[in-house]
Amino acid sequence: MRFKEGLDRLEAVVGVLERGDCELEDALSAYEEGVRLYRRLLEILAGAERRIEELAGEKEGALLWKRFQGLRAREETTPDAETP
Amino acid sequence: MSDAPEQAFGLRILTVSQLNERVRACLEERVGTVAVAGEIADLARPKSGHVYFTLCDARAQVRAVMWRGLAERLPFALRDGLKIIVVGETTIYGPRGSYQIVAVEIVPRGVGELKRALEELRRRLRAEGLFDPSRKKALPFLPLRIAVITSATGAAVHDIIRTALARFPALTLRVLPVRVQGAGAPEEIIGALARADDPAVCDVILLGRGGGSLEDLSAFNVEAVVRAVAACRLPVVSCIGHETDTTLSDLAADVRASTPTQAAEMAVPVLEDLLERLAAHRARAARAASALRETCASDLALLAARPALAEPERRLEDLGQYVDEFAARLEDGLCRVGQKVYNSLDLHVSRLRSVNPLATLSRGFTVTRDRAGKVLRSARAVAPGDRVEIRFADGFCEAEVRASREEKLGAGKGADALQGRPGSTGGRRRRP
Repeated sequence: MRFKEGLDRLEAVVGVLERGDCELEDALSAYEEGVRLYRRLLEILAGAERRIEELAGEKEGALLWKRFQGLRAREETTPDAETP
Repeated sequence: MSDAPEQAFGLRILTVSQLNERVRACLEERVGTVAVAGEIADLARPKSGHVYFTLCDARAQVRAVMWRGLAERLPFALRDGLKIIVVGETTIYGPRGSYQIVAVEIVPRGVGELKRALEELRRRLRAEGLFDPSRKKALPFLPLRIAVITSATGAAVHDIIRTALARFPALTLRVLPVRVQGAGAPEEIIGALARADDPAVCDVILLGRGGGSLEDLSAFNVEAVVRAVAACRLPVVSCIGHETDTTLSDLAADVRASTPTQAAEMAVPVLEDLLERLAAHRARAARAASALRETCASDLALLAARPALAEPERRLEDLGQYVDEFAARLEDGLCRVGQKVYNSLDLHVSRLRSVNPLATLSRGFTVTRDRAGKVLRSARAVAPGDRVEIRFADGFCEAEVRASREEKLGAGKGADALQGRPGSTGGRRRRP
């Protein structure tokens, strides 16, 4: 699932709940879907990792990356210090 | 003169012609074809049609000539003061003993001329549709991998990395270092675009450099570079030069940022905003769900507490009142879920029992039907002596109507009764 699709779906689900014009069972399953989406979207955000790379070359058509060397000291932080 | 000495000071004596011939050979072999930048001065175009001028910079000058055949085909007019690049052979003009360039090509170099050539290219590519808004691709909402095509040493790469990470700390940034000006820059930019334009490599491409003169930015105006930008399958954000500079690559990109910092801002969402949005959605969902439950439960609780249930003979009238009240509230739009409860009561009695918050019958509520099985909603629907069937949570009973009495049901009374009561759900159901 792409983040935006999930977020749009979550928005729609919340809208359905707030309008309150569906069967109660449907509202409850919408609520459950909303919670599932919420967890999944959080996972996407939390699963992202920080990597700063620089193209180092190509081998058999595949790009090779190395750690980007050109950063000044203040941009250097531990990779997961700020990940959610 | 036959007895003139062959040598002087140990050197062979040359004629002037011989000297010039030597210099010519030396020039043609050692210097040969050159491209020289300079400004035109002393332009002369005699009747022969050949063009003579002096090419100068601040400290030096050299004579140049372009023969008629080539000069006539130049696409622009030469004039004094024009900055040009001359490509030609160095040689010597014997009669004057001065060396000169025999030009085979002249291209404009001044800002004005560059701009004119640029304008022409812009018109051509625009006519081709390369800059059409319909070609523009939308940026991904959350690009977790970003390719950055720029100089590895300039400020642009730092601005982009710093800005992007400040907004979203867990990004994969992939820098494809290129020369952004000078010889080889267009080829490197095109190569980097081809490598980055792969969904396996990144989600979005940032292409740019810091500000510079029109000439510094010229690599981004090279037709092949502009076409490479337009041909990318992944979205490209351009940030070439400062706000006032617009290159053709900017026009071909999907989104144009005025600076590298702005490009990062446009491409990368702020993590905290996303988290806040998610939390807000979750809270709204939770509120809505609990409001739904309460609405259903309190509607039914209210119903169960009505005097009709304590005074069986009033049951039918109160049922009718309930229905009317419900209708009034529906019109008010206050109880959309209530309608569902009502519909369920009417049509899906058995299903109601299986839904926990709607276990109405166990709360003391009953449904009364006539002998045909039709739910009775009005006191007018029955007459003394009618047999009805009352459904309880745990079974049925048959009953006979002893009396029926119609009661004037003011809508206001019903609404007041419902809304004025503590624990009424009227207020809770209103939403922004």
